[in-house]
Amino acid sequence: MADAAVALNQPGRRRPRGPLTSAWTGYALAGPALLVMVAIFLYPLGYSFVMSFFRWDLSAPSAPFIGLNNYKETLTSPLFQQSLRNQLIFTAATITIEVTAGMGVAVLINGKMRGLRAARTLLLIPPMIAPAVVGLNFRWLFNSQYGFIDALLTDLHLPAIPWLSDPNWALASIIIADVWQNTPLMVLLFLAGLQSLPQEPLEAAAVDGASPWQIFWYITLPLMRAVIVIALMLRIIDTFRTFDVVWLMTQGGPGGASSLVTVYAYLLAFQGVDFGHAAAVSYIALAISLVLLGVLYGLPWLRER
Amino acid sequence: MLKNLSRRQFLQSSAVIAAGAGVEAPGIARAEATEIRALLITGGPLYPKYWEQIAQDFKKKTGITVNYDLLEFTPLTSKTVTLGAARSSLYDVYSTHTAQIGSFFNHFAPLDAYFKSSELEDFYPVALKYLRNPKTDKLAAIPRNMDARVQYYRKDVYDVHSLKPAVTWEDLVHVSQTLTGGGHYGLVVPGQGDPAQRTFSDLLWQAGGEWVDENNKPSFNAAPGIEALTFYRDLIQKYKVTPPDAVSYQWDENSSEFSSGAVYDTFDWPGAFATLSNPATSKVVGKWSTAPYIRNKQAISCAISHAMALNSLSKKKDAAVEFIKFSVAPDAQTLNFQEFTNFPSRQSVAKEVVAAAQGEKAVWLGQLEQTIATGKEWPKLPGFSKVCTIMFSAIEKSLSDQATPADSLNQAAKEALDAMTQAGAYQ
Amino acid sequence: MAATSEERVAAGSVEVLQPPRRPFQVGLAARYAVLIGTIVLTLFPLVWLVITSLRVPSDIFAVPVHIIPASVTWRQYVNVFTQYNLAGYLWNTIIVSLATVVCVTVLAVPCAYAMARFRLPGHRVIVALLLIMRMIPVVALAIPLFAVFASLGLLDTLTSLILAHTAAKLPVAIWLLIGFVQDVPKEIEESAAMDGAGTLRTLVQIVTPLIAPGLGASAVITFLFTWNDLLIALTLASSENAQTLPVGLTNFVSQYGVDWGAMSAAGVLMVIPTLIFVWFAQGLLVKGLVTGAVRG
Repeated sequence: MADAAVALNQPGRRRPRGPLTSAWTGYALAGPALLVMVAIFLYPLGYSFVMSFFRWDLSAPSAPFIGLNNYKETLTSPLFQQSLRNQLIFTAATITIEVTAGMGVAVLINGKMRGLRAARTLLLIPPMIAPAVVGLNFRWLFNSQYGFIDALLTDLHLPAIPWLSDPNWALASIIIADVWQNTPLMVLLFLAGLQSLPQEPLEAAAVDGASPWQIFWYITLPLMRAVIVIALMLRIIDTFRTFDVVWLMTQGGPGGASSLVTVYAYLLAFQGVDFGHAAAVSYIALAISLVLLGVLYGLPWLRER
Repeated sequence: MLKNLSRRQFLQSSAVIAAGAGVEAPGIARAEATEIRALLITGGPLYPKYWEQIAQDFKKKTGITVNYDLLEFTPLTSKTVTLGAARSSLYDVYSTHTAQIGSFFNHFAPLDAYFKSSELEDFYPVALKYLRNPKTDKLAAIPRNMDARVQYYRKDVYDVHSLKPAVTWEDLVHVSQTLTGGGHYGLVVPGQGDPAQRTFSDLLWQAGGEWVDENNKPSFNAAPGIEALTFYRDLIQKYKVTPPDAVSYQWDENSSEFSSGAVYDTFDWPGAFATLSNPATSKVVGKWSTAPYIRNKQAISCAISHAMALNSLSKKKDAAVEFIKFSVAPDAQTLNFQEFTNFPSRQSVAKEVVAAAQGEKAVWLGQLEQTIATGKEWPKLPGFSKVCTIMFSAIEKSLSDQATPADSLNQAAKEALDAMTQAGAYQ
Repeated sequence: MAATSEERVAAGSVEVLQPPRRPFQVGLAARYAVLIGTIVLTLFPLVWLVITSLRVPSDIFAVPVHIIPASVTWRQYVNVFTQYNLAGYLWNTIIVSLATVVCVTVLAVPCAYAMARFRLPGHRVIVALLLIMRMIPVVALAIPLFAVFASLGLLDTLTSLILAHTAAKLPVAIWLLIGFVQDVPKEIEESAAMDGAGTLRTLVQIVTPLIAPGLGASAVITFLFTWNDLLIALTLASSENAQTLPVGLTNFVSQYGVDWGAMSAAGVLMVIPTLIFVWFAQGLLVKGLVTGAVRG
């Protein structure tokens, strides 16, 4: 599983050759960074993995080893199933919208246009803003009494929408916030990708009288494969880590309708004080995102050559 | 081999791996402790001054310096969970609360040995009762100030409509329906997470129900529970007397809906009295009054408390207990009441402040005393912290019409029984 | 396959960019409409944040909502410094972010160089771990992370935040820099070696200047993601000693109400460094994100 995903990250890796290949020198150079990561991050990673096999419940007097019970309980818990379902919807919806819209906008604004530099600067702002600011700001924007969006809808004589209190709209709200924050990143990625495409095939096709749509579909898109794969990977990884924005907007509510796996894990840990269980949830989430990356790698269209 | 590895052993071994070698801070002899650390609660920009005063006075009296960190209620709870899970000895003293005490019975040291029973007599019995570990009957924290709710209503608006504040559930529907309209709402209730569970809990007791039966098995899904949750949901979904977003409200939205003037009635904590009287935080200064919490078959709502606890891993327990005693002493409680209208946990202090109060404030204090006298709290059994996460979801599901009250409570009761069984509530 | 390095670098640096001939003949007006529409959608939540921060308090909870406030005030921008400890949060965040950038850069460059140029036994294992570290939700690590720093006696210090962020940001930085190192023609290093330069000297004097754009990109990205982090700071800080801006934002929420005006003002102030970075380091950021992305 891990290997598939890792291999995906190494397209056409050049194997190191030449005189500079002594393993010892290599490790001396890589050592300090590896040491810091191992000591500070990898160790907690292993620690929480071990925790996931114990009943590590703060309210219980001891922490007995319980094997796979935390995993079993997680998989059979209705709240987890709901969170996982939401997670898959969230991941699928945000990625579809972000990649499609990102590609659409990038293709349309690719080329000589006034103000493109300023536009790029503005587009970089949302992806770079703190999720804490985004979450609190959107909670306020979506407020049905004092928020901008419902005020605007009312001014336009449209019905106000119960963004955060209706189960379906709550999930939509967190998707909207994520789309707002990350679509611009996709635009910039794809724009950079488009601008680095070789021009000959595009020109040849244009000379042959292909329609813009045909050129896009049969030439541009296949040439953009690598960038698209990367965009999908980045977003899959990040949607499975999304927490701050959702927690600050809805806390996963109402009734788990906008709960994602990280939100469920957080609730289990900090309200339910069952850290073993919360760790199990995180590892299941990690496994699922690895599987998704593996599937992505396996899709024939996305494979190179 | 790993069976029943205690949390302490595990963490100690991990500490060694992490740090390389022995890292235990050198223990300081108990009697010589001149510095302790405390993790304390704050609320709003003014509260830090209170602790500054207390710490200063304490230093003057005992010579012990208190180094303290301040956090708002929610971050404080998460931080205490983190510290407890990591078995940290960083803080000697904690501010805590009845609502979360069940999560910390292992992290806090029993206080029974430090307080004579005559010293405990002054505290409200209901406060002490729910700060005890039901499995061992040991006292995990000592109450500092009471948290109980009364009704806050817009006297000016009620007078215009010749309405009296609601006494029963039926009144509440009637009064709120009369006042709802034109962008204003007759009532606001919170509907998310812990505040939603708190509200359901009050209604459950008022309907004559209990969280668990005599065997500590969940009983909140019996008829009174269903009646309570149905009423709660209907306020939002059927009578529509609350803002439509109520399902997503926490305490802060609940309070600000009333203080902004959008809503005419709410149930709120003692601190609201000060917040609502302050023009900087309230648009309705002078326009509101208080009334007792509503009733149904019973007149019960929660009586819980902010409390002080001792870290079981503290190496300066004696000095720490000194500070705990000082922070719940009559003087400290009087100051806490005068500045922030936080209601004393000592009956003697309560009697004094009630006697000294006049007008509206006296009436309000009488109502609070009444709430405390009949008050309750949900059980502090092993696993109940996890039951709360189940309840958040179950209550919100009902309030947002995703499931009927009966279905969501029955499902929650089943999961709650599992969670408590696994945590050892029935051993 | 992906474009060559030169093209990619060119894609990032807008100044030297020659826009390719457009393959599409969409009406120019329509394209401007798309551009403007995208910008409007991007900006309006931020404009709302700014408007909220400038409102007088009584206007914040006004029904019906006045989208354009009748009067504005700067008071909230003063309050965040006088009533709240924004200056402290700001200082902590700046120190932590800058120190993290330095630590990450110093550690990541040799590591990326080694991984790009040396045959390291266990290379695949290291790569797999880098990926897993990039993927695991921070929630899972909160308690163990706390335990590690508790045992080091570093809780609630800026040092703990710098160390934790360095560890957390290293995988991304290494990943990104490997790509840049691989694009350095190997002949340059080989001729340096023939001239008698040691590995370290080659790295410092030859390779590092050549991957300067990569260093810039990784520094900017590291800075911004450290600046924005909530969970690590929330876990390790418990007082004003080490609370950062995102944690400080949560202090505007109290039991009896959210101080929306002050919080928005703090939010706006927090965005300003982001704006500055984005404006001046735009080229680097795009380059970093794209190179990092294309290389994975």
